[in-house]
Amino acid sequence: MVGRKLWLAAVAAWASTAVAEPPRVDPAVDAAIARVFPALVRIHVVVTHYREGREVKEEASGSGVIVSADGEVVTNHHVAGRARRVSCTLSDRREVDAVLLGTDPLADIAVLRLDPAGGPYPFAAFGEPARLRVGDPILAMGSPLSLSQSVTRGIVSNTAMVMPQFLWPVTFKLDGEEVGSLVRWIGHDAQIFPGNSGGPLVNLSGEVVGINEISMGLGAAIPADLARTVAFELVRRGQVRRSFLGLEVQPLLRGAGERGALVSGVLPGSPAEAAGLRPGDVLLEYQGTKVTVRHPEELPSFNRAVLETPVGTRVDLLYLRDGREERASATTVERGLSQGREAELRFLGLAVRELTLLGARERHRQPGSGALVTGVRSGSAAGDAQPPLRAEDVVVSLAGRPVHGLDDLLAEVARLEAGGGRTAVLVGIEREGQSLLSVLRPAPREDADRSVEARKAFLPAAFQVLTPELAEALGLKGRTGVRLTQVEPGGAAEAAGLKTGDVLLRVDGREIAASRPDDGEVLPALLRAYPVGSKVRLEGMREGHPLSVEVELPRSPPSSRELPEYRDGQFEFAARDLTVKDRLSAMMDREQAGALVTRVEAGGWAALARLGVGDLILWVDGERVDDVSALRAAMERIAVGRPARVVFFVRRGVQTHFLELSPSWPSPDGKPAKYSRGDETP
Amino acid sequence: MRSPFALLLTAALLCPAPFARADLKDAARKTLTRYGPALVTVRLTTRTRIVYQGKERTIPESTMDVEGTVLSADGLTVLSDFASNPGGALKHEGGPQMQTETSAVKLLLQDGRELPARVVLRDPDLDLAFVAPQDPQTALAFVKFEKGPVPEPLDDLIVLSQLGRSLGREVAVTLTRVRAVLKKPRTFVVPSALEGLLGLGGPAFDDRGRPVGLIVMRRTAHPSADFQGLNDVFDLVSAVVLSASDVQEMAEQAAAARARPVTPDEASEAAPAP
Repeated sequence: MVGRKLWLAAVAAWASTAVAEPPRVDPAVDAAIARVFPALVRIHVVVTHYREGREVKEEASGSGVIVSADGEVVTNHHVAGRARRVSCTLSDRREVDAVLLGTDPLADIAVLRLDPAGGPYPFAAFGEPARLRVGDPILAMGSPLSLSQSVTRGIVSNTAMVMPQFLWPVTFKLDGEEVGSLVRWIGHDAQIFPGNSGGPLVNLSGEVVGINEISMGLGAAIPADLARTVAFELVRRGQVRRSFLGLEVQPLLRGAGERGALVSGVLPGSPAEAAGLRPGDVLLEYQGTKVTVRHPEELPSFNRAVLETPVGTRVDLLYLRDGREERASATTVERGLSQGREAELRFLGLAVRELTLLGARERHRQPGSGALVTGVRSGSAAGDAQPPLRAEDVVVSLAGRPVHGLDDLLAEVARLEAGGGRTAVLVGIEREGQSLLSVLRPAPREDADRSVEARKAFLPAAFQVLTPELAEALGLKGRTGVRLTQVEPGGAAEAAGLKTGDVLLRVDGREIAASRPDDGEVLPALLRAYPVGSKVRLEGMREGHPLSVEVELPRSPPSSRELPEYRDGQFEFAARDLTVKDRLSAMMDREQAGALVTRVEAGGWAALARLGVGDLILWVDGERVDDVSALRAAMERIAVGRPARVVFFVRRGVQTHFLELSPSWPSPDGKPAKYSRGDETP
Repeated sequence: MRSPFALLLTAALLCPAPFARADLKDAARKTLTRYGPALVTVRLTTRTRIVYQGKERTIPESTMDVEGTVLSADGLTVLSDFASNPGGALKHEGGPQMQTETSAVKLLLQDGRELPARVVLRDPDLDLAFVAPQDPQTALAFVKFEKGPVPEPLDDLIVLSQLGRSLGREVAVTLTRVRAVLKKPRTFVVPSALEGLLGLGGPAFDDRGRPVGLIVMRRTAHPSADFQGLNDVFDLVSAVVLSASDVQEMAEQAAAARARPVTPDEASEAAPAP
């Protein structure tokens, strides 16, 4: 009895220990996590790139932090700046659609807005990165490798991190912008991985002190003060307006004193040139503030001061030339982006970009003096033009009309396309200082390869070669031929009485001279020599007994490429009917119905729902899909009804799955719907 | 297919036919004059789709030039399917499936004209692909293939081919001899001196200048996935002459396919009603 009591007491003691909260090592960490964690989002985007003259879509993911109850999310430009579709997973696992409010490649900051219907949202507050000291504990939060919200811990390792000089000429550029010219990163040793980009760096007060961006051995975060300033502008205007002087500076040469910044370049036609500055001048003051750039770490601060000057400000400059101080003033102009809008001109087979002020200057051109070719599609009108167009050409005219920029070119191409094209068109291009005329001949292209394959007599069965070893094992030593491994149900071979396991040795009295493993096409080649519909006598053995059957050879089925294909432009997938071969190779029932998926465009609604090539669509929104015509009918009805969700029931191997497709339907005026993962890029 | 790989194979296979007879040289020169204009460059733009475990990735399009022989005055042209679709030879089970699709075709004539065209028929079994101009022509030079005598071992052959772009795509003539004649699974003539892969799609003639066939690639049906390098190349692929009658038979199918694409009824043969 006593023993039993003791045992019960021991169990009770163990149980109370097992359910007790473990002691917390650092309550400050818990508090910081509690303040920021609810505001973390995992971002899933479909982004567009232009590659070799085509617009291509890709899926990507990253991190972000909600910074207002309205659902404004700060993340990196390189995560969401090219997003066409955005959805965010909140810390409570809710999936919420979002739109891109604005993006800034120079600071690598973008701002999203979550669907207001899901709000108000928990949000985090920005802190003051200037107060950070090396050694301060920090937390990196986000969704590394697209995992759900996660936290790592470390210390501030460097409060003024810049790209190491020894990496030259490697720099960190985004869309042509030198991020390190503006951003001086907070270095830290909290582990970050791909997918952490855009996530917050948090101090133990639970404030966002940085936005994680890259890893250079140490993690590198954009200081929160810069991120906040940029995000504010993006929310307000959708872009960041910055000043441009055309002045390039570098750290002072060694032994050149302790004051000022060395003017390394002055861009032709710029405000700095108009003000009389020259390379070699030492800038001492900017707007009355002393300038000191002795080290690379001091450059971003100076650049930021110039960039953040209100556009159109007349700025005072004090500089040193030949040992004498001189004064000048210049009026800043709007800097714009390094790279302008880009578009694919499918009709011509090329991608082109607007030439911005900076982009034009880099090419010794004026803005508005043409459109820059960024890529040419092989085999396209542009690729086959004489001479062919190529990347870095600047299109200055098309069909005799001047092209000042992207809009001119888009309008002119639309006009050509409306006219049907096909006639030769003259394109004026400028290339490496030369003015060339190229002749191109636009022609509509059929994307699908519909070439047919030769159809010949065949035996609807599969077989293996009767190798000497197999022949001997089957008691047919010295014989050549094939052994049937599969007979197509309902086919001519089955109708003639052939069965799996039969050995075929002769066709119309001729030996089937197949004995090596690579003689697999000997029998098909023999049969292909017959006209379709011929009757041939096949002789061989079945279970030790002679076999002789007559088979009428049917025509081989068309290749799968020739089958009618249903292409759905809205959901971006294609499907076709099942073939006999499909059924046999996938070991499906003969009665198996459905539409076989042949294509799934990356980034499309179907791809986002994880529809795969080879999936067999069985039902769509409760409607049975027996074949591709049924699929077409179902999808046409869906296009009319425009439901928010469409459910596919598919077979994949031996498993079946329900897939939920969440499309964005264009509004009746052709504009994409908001907050529904459409093409919402501003 | 004009590639470093092709050049390597060419170098390995090229050897001049010694001591050609004067009448053979004369026949070869006449053949060059008569049939040379029937050789054209076929410019194909292809893209390759890679599907692995249901997920699709498309490699950006690329353009390649291959040799073709015009078969009729309206421009029906034959070329090597392998040369125009090398990805088709790289299928193996289990791994990623590569599918090469042709998205644009042009015939580049020797007079500088470029004719938009399309692929009308493929016969991977015989390594033939047929292309036809989108706007039929009326007076193109051509080689007429029809049933004729099959050469015997050591018979002379005259082979026409186009040189590479660096040589202005000039038509070249090669004298060679028959090394072997395969009888199974069908008749193939194996020349002793080839233009290698450069000659794929070019016509071969007998010593009297009569068309005997087309240079095509003969390869094993399923090259193994564990590719072992050049030894495997020579073991798995060989350039051979496909008989004129085989070419002609498929050309008739191509002409029919050109005139009449596959119909839904025909397509439904592949999907019999359950």
